[in-house]
Amino acid sequence: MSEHTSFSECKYPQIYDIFLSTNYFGDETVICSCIRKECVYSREWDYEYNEHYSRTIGGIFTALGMFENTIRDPQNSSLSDGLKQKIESMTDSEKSIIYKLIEEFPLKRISNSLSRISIRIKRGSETIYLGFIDLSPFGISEVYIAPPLWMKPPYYYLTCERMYFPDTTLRVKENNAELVNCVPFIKVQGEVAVCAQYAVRMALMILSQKPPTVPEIVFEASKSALKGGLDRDQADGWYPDEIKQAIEDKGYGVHELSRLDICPCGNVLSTIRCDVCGVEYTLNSQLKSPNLENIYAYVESGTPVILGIKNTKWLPWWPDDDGEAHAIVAIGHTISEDNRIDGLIVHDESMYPYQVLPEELENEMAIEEIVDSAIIPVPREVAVEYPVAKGIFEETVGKLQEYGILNNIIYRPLLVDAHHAKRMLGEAVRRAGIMDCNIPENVRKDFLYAYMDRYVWMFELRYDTDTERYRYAGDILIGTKFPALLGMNVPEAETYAFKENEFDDELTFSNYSDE
Amino acid sequence: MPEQGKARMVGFRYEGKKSRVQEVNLSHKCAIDFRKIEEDVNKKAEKLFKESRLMSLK
Repeated sequence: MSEHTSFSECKYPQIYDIFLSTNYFGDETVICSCIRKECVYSREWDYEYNEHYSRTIGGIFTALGMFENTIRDPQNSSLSDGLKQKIESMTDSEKSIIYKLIEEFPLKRISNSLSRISIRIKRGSETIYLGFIDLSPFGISEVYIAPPLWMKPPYYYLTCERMYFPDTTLRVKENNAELVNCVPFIKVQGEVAVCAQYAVRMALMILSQKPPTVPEIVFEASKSALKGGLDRDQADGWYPDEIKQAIEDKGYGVHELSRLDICPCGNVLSTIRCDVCGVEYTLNSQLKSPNLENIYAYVESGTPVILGIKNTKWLPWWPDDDGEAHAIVAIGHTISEDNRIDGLIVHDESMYPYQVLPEELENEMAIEEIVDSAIIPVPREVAVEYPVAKGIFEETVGKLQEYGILNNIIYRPLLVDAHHAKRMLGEAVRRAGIMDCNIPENVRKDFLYAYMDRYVWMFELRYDTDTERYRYAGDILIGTKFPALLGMNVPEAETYAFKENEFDDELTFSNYSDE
Repeated sequence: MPEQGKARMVGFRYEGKKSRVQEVNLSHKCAIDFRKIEEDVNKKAEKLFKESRLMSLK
């Protein structure tokens, strides 16, 4: 175990780099301890990595053999006469030093294990387990560390955070699992693939305990690659449709938000024309815009969002040089002092975990201007994208406002599974622990027996009261299989609606006083 | 300033179409024609969904 009062003393410089770049400990002074464990197997350190490394090692081994033969028999080599004479004039003791160096050259063998560094900190008399970082021969690999100590409510929300006990973790003692609350991260290993592939892997790590490895993702995608196939250089990265393909291969559906194409003349291509009848359709850019709200709706629901960034030079943690296109993963959001969503928390697999991407950057560019596209892995059943659900919600509330109700409301969109939605509508407890809903018992009961799609878009409403108190205004439910209203609860009109059976064409509307 | 460590709820403001407000007596059970609202909304929903699908083809 190595213990140090500052991470600058850490003997693993890449780990120090991660903690330094996330300002992990903020103003706190803590004592850290790292335990290096051998022989912990990681799925990342699999056949494909091993094979790549074997080829490198094979080359080194061959070169060292040729070097040894040259020292033993310089006349049989292709060296110049001058060099041959110099080698022949070496003493036996000098030659034996070289033989020894060749024999003990450190990279001649590959280990079948990788090193796992467990990290703990001491705060006074308390010891806190932060998680672990895997070191492969290429450097940092998987990272399961808790968010920085200062990154917590009420300003920072890591909605993709989960409790992890990765299946590669060894138990130190009986019934003593090293659990960690975190959003898993993986660092790009350039020898294997580039940012887009690692961003896909990271999103899948967040969604599933046993995600495929990057080489597996790359191999499967190559089989069905859309552009270039197996001949394509891995350093080229992926196009958005290839990222979509890779995610769909793993059993997820994909929602995509991207800007309208722009003609080289600068005109935004906002219409499409039917080649047969010539009818033109005007495209509604809001339905696909990768703006903060559209991204937030998924992130708030615990779904990671892969963001295609136009140029790395605009990211605060990248150098200001020429830059290049990049992919990162949104895993949470920030809230300002005046209660606005004012940024995203992202994992950048090429650089560092837990970075803050503010709504407005230092150069006054907005998130909307630097994000080119957003790709979201969703359950396959979810066909209705957030902007469509939002359009349905706005239409509903707009109609209700015509009757003078639901004025000055704030809505919070969530993609939730049916049992979560039913729990939110069916429980008599405070929602999120802070908002009294006071839904009558008969209403709660009807929602418990109602039909819902496996997943629903739930718009939670409250009145904008400018106070610390949250006043519940109702809920609107939108289907995810088909674009339609699936239910609502409007306390102001003392009315609620739900679907009794899947194949009912209409909702069942009831008044609070109905029995 | 919110208390450190306390959870908060956020969201987005919806202003809407106040100019078309109708005078209704909410104490009357049938004051709001919810069935009509459902029909209109679902028609709009179909339209939005088709538009969104169309944009995926571009």
